[in-house]
Amino acid sequence: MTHIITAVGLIVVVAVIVAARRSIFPASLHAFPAVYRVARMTVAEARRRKVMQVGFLLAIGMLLSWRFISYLSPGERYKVVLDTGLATISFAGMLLTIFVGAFLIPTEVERRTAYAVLAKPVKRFEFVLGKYLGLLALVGALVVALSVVFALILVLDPEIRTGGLNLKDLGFAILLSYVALAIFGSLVILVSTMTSTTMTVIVGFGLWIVGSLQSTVQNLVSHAEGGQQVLINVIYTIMPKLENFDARWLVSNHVPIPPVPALLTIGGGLIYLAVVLILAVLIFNERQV
Amino acid sequence: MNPSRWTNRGLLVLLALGLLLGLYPLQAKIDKAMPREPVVLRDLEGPTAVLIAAVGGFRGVAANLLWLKIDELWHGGESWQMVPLFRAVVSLDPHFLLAWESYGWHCAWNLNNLAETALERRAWLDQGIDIYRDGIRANPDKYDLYLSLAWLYYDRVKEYDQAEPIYIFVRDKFPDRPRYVTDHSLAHIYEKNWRVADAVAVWRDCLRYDSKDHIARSALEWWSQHWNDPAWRQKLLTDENNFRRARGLPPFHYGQFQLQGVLHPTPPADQMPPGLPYRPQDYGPAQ
Repeated sequence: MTHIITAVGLIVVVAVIVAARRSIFPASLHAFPAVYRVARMTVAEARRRKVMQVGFLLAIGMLLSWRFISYLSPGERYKVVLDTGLATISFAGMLLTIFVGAFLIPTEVERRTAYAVLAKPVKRFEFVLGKYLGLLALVGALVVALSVVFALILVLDPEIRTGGLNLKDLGFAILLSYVALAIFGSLVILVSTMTSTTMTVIVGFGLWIVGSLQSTVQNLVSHAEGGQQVLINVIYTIMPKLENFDARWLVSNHVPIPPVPALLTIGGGLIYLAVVLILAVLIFNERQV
Repeated sequence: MNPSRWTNRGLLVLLALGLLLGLYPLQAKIDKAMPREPVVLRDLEGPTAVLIAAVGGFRGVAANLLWLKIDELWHGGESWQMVPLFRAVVSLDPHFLLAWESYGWHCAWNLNNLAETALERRAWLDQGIDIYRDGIRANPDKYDLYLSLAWLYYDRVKEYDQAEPIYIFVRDKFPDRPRYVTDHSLAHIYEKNWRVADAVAVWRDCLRYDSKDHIARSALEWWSQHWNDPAWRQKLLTDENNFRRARGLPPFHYGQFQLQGVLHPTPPADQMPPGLPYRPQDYGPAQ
């Protein structure tokens, strides 16, 4: 059954690409520079608002504070510092995604600055994609900067350095966190195409929690029956599976990250992200601006 | 109505649908390959910050916060209050081996000591065993909890026949095991049962692996002198039973084929076990 579903999915995707092949190339040629300009503008705007700088400083403070817990044994410290450090990077990324992402489109619409951009030869999908990629660049910059600081903290700590620190797995865990943030960012953009900034922030936090309770919802599916089971199954299918990207507890407990499942998770996440962005474009196309 | 606009929309909807259909079976594979433990809400204890962290995708952080709280309770001597927090920690982070080890140890050693009746004491021992078994189920590829369980049987419950297969399993499955724990304990179990040939075989293995293993050398020297010594066999039995009596455990004696194990008879004088007498030159330099 699953093979049939996969085959149907692939046939549909190929059919769409074949049907649109004549317009894809010229549209892409036009889209790349426009998307790049919108993304650059988004980054410049966020830098002016100093959200990133504040987030970065707060996260550094959090990373350092865990470093100074001295009364734990070396094994405990390794676990606590690694786990909480990686969580701090994810947490800071999540806050930045919500508080920057929620402002990107609604503010432009409310201030009517979107008129000026869309009046130029910038299509709506280019506007949405540009905003999303700008957000992705900002989150990426924050994650990279925090990761460098975190790696330094770990390497300079002799107890942790000699406690079996695996920098490769650490990097992989950070990459997985970043992909999770990219998916989450696409959801924030989707919500922001429909509603106001405040609502986007509230729904954004809700989506993060739901995505992080993936295994709990999955567990509910097996315990429910009949129509309830179908409903929970539908919710499980469409919800973001952010928990799969959490490799923090593996790294901090010396469990190697299984590479093939992790790559499959990234692949699945990118497909999900593409679907969410398509929905965001479709909704923004219909919105009265 | 602009037909091209509608076509574009239709194509985008179809593309999203096709991608979702392709993702559905892939997601099932991912879920199987990256199994997750659901957050068991009834197991969650502690301050609100911990609950928020747990349901907000930061289970490891929640577990760490509770771990710090456990440390505080331990130093405050509040042993009973630590139990639900231990349960919450291992529920939040089932790969936290140190938490499993401490949880089992706390029940089987500390709470067992604090218990007032024999029934309670036995219940805390059983609780310790169950905890280690749960931990092994969550971490089957790490030897740590196998060794903790084997040590619990060996040192605390004194059921050597339960400890022996676990040590053998670890010896066979984990080449990177700490030999001074696994192999030495296994040899000691054989010694306690007066299984001279088995004990000597393990000590010889230890020396072949590491010629500087002084404990193995001393043990082989000792067995060379006493393998056929009924007085020492009797002394071992008396010491073991004195220890058991102090702990309130049933006695251990030759012919008792229950849980505690079997004390083997002294080998006949003309059947010296292979590997004895000990000759240092057979195992290379000791230093």
